[in-house]
Amino acid sequence: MKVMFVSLLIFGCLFTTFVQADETEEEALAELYGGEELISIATGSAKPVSKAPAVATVITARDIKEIGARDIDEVLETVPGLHVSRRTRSGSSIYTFRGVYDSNNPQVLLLVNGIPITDAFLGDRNQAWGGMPVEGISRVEVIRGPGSAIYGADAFAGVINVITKTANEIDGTEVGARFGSFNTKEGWLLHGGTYAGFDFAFMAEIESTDGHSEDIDSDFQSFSDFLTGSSASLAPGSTNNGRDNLDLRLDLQKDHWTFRAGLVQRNNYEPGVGVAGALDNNAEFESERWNVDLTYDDDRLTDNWGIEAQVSYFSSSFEIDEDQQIFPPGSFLLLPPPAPPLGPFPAGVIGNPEYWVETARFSLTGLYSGFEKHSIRIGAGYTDQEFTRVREEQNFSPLAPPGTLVEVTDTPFVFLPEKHRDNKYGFIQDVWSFANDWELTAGIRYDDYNDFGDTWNPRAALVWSARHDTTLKLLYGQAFRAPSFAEFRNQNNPVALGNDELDPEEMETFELAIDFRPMEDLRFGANVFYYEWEDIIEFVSDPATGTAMAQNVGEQDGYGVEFEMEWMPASNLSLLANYAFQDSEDEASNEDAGNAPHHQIYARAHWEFLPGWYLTSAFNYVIDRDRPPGDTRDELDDYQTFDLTLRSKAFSDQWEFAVGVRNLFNSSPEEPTDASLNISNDLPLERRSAFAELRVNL
Amino acid sequence: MNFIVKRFRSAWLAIIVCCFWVAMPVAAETTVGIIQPELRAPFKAIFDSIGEGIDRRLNQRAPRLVITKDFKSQSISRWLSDNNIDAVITLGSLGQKASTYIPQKTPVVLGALLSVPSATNPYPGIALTPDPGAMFRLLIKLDPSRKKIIVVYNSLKNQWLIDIAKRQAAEIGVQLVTYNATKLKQAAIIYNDVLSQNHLDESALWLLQDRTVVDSKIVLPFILEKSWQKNMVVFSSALGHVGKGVLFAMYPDNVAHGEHLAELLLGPNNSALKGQISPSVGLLKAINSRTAEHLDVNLSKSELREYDLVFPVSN
Repeated sequence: MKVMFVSLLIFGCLFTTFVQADETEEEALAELYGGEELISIATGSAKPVSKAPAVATVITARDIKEIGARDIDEVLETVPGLHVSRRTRSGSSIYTFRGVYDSNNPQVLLLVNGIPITDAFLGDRNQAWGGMPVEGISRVEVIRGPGSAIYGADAFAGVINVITKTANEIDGTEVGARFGSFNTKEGWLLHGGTYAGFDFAFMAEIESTDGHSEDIDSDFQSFSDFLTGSSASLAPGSTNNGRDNLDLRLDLQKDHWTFRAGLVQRNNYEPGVGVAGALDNNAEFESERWNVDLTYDDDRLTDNWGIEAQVSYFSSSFEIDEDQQIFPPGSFLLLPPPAPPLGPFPAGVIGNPEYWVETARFSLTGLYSGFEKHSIRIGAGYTDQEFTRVREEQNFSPLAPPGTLVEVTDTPFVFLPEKHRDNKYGFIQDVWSFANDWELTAGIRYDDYNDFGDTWNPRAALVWSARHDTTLKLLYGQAFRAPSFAEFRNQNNPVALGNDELDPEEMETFELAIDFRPMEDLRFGANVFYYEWEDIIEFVSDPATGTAMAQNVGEQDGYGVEFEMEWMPASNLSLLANYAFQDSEDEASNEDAGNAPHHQIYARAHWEFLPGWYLTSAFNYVIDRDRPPGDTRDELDDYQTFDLTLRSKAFSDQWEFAVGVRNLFNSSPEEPTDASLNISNDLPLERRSAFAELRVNL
Repeated sequence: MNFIVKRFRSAWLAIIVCCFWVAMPVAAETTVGIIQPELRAPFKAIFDSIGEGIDRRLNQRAPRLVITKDFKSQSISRWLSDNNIDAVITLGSLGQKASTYIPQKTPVVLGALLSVPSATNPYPGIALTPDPGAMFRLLIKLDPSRKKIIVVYNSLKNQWLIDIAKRQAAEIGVQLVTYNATKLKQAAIIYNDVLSQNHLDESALWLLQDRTVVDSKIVLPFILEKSWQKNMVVFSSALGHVGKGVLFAMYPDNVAHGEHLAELLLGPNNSALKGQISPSVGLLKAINSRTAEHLDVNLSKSELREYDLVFPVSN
């Protein structure tokens, strides 16, 4: 056996010697530093990537460029166990981790530079989310599974942390433009430099698009027409997905201080299908999100203590520029029986709810390393959240005759009263290297909310470096999801009434993960997981009143496996593939929980076929999506997409161009819709599309 | 006297470099130019940082000539005269090649060398290769029991470095055991023999940045597996090896490298160091904490902070 091993070693060396080419300057530097990524780190233009004791994926700016991604959703779809679906009502993204599906998607925490950007009204990222451009992103860290012991509320099914670029990473000026299908125009300007001792980074990204416009065959209004005898439905007709985006970010750093500020604006945001699942060709939304934060970070405050203090402010608005037609012109408003339908409404049933959510946060974290073999992280914080500047207009209010648009702000007929929420928390975590090759991470966090009480969330991770190339992790974690303001206080919407007696949703997860690197540039990752999701908030119908109110009634269990492979068979070729399987069951019905794919396959090849010429191909296969309990429609069709991106920097070090095709074979991807919305062909996504881009580094 | 010069050549070099510092104000009158190869990002950042170090020591921005592999000798002559350049620092192998077209009266220093030029090279220089003595001292600091250092090298490429390493090992008080292998196959057999031995508790294996004796696809994984099993310390002259599992590596502090090049060029005894190439002494440190834990090399948080890069990073 040993002889065979040595023979293989020597044979391998003969082959290696044979294929060795003349070393160029760049190859020699790459050899000294261990690759381009390490050069970027060693020369200070990139930071080493954290390896959390969790099942995590890190996607760097370089990966993002390889993918040819234009929006964060394209990046996230490459993560095993994470499928990006779409919300019927506004076309916003639904990040489905491991079978945890909810059309509002509040079970996922999206952070930008570690700060949540959750809109507490629905617990999502805002109804006019509008995606996130990627040119200013340094890396995206995705943790599958719970993270409440560190991040608190909503770090439930998964955590996505987007880290933006710093002055060092931009180092100069980059200007770019991109044009594509659906009349999409994008432009960006990045600048990084040092001025008066401050590292200064500025990022501006704009986008204007008409959005794709696939047809739906029927909608909720089609059903309503059947009941009331009207013929108001705009179906068959196309969904509306246009929008104008502006993203501005500023990053200032000096010594231990970091100051960041940003403005995200979404204008002329079209409503997808429409808020009630009835096509709405009129509505246009607007959203403004401001962030300001100041961080002091000193990991060498004393010999044994490091400290991080942060104060931040985040506000998020949802406003309506053009009337939202809940139901189209000529429709009736269905009321809980036995009341007859109200109407008809010649201008449609119009409701224009608007609001702001303002969040101020303060946190203080200490890192103590005074005990041998222990690394302790301890901290506390306070969050203050206001649901404010609530306004609403309706043309179906009791305050005026049906069809007359009146303001119901500050009346009992408004959709939700203003609300305050605060949260105090404390946490402690210890990383204990208790034996050679063994490390135990144990932590717990306590959160106290003024509206739904307190909760404790522990986590533990046992990490074993079994061999030089193999690491095993056994993980346990609990998480909670704070009820959204809508779930707490919604009023006047008979099918979605709030309930201020709600408890948070809870989740408990067990995971076993292995990381195996058998060869240079070859890595395998695999994990198995099991979760129990309890106190799921659902709107439960009351047959007596015909209304539905939020209640903690649901329960779901799930298990699955995820495999990943990264391989660089040659210096000009890299391959990545992953496969995810999940099986989740609704405990009340013992049926499949539905909507999320049971299987998903993703594969990507990135090939430098000529010096400076890169071709990336990516294949995504979404397989086997059952309907949720009670939905008797046939299961959703599987779909495949194949993307190609050609990029070149062959002509100049400064100029770079790319062209790309998405969904090359023009498949018909569809994402699930709620059965009650009566959309027979579900929610159609983009068919084939293309883009061309040009960027220059000055 | 010859013996003293030879035996303590590195020490002399360091003393001379220090003396140059004092001599700087006078030398700053000289117009220094930099010849460097055209590289794409992120490689370009390495030479940019070296240039920054040169500028910093000169207290002014030196004119640059960026050349491609098909450069013309006339373009160098023209650049020298157009910019009134009195002295030149070349960077990289291509820069060294360009140095052959510089008039002999012009002082030249070769920098950022990745391979040592032929014996006929008339100019002094500094390689990007980290100074062996610095690495030996770090090894002893991390694990004082490792008194025997084993290295496999290709004499055609690294005899100069091994000669320096031998002297430094003797000064530091460690035993350096060297094996010459001119082919990877030979090196693999030696590694196999070394790592098959018992009682490696007091030994450490030093890996060079040289693909003819350590390739990262076949030999390095074999070394890492065997050394993990035998609890043998492995350290390296290549930063990339740390991420893969060797205990530590040192790599050039590029700004410091640039400063040293400027000091070497402007020193009064530049001409006395004809053809002498030295390793980099301005260095940064990288460590693999996972391997350190496996080897029972205890590092407190504050000790870890002394390293510029720690692999794998944990939070």
